[in-house]
Amino acid sequence: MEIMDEVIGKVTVLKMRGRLNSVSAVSLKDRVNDYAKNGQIHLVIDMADIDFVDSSGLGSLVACLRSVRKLGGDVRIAGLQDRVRAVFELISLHRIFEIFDDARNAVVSFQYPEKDAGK
Amino acid sequence: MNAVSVELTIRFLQNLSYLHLVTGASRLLCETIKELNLSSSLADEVELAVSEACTNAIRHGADVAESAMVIVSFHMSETQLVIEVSDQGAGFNFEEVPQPAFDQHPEGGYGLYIIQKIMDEVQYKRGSKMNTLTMKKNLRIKG
Repeated sequence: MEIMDEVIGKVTVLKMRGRLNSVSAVSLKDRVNDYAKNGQIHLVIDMADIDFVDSSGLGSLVACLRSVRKLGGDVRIAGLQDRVRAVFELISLHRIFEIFDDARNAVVSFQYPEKDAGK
Repeated sequence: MNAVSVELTIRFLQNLSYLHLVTGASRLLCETIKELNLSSSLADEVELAVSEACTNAIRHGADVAESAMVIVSFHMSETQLVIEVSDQGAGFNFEEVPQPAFDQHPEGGYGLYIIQKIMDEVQYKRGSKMNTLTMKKNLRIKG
């Protein structure tokens, strides 16, 4: 899995590509821990190019969410393909993440919290 | 429709680096048996179940020798896909695996739940040398 990032104001967007599973989960957690140490705790994970997830991969997202929420931040999810969204829903993780249609709307939700368009 | 009978067995060391090989094989199997005209969602479900089962087999067998193997066998007919995932770990009590605590959103413990949700039949046999999780999927023929 590849992870590219872009900083937009206080928000860091992680653009992921490939498969999020037990193999790639560790690299995601390490990356988010590095961001947190650096004070980057407002994260958007753009999953538009993630075409496979399993529960280990989604478990790593939960770990990331918990670590940044402890610091007052949040992880917001964007761009889920249908098959990926189905796994989120299967294990009820759509209930703890804010999920947006695309990364732009997720970034806006941090900048203008009163807006919730594109969820 | 021509008769379909495919058997495929993959043996690999208990290492997560082989996970993509075996999940990819499951997908290829579902997509290439043209006679069955299987839906892409079925291939998605099978790939997910194989990923969950193999991740469990690799992780929970990690306390045995480094040379321990995982064996995944696919048996496909016109009506059913049977997948057996065998490992040499200590095994577990299938009947006592708890449901995930969904209200607490744990980071793990979803694998067996997912498998049971998306496959039509799941059995587990704990053996003295190998443990085998058997997953069956009835094949729905498109249109």
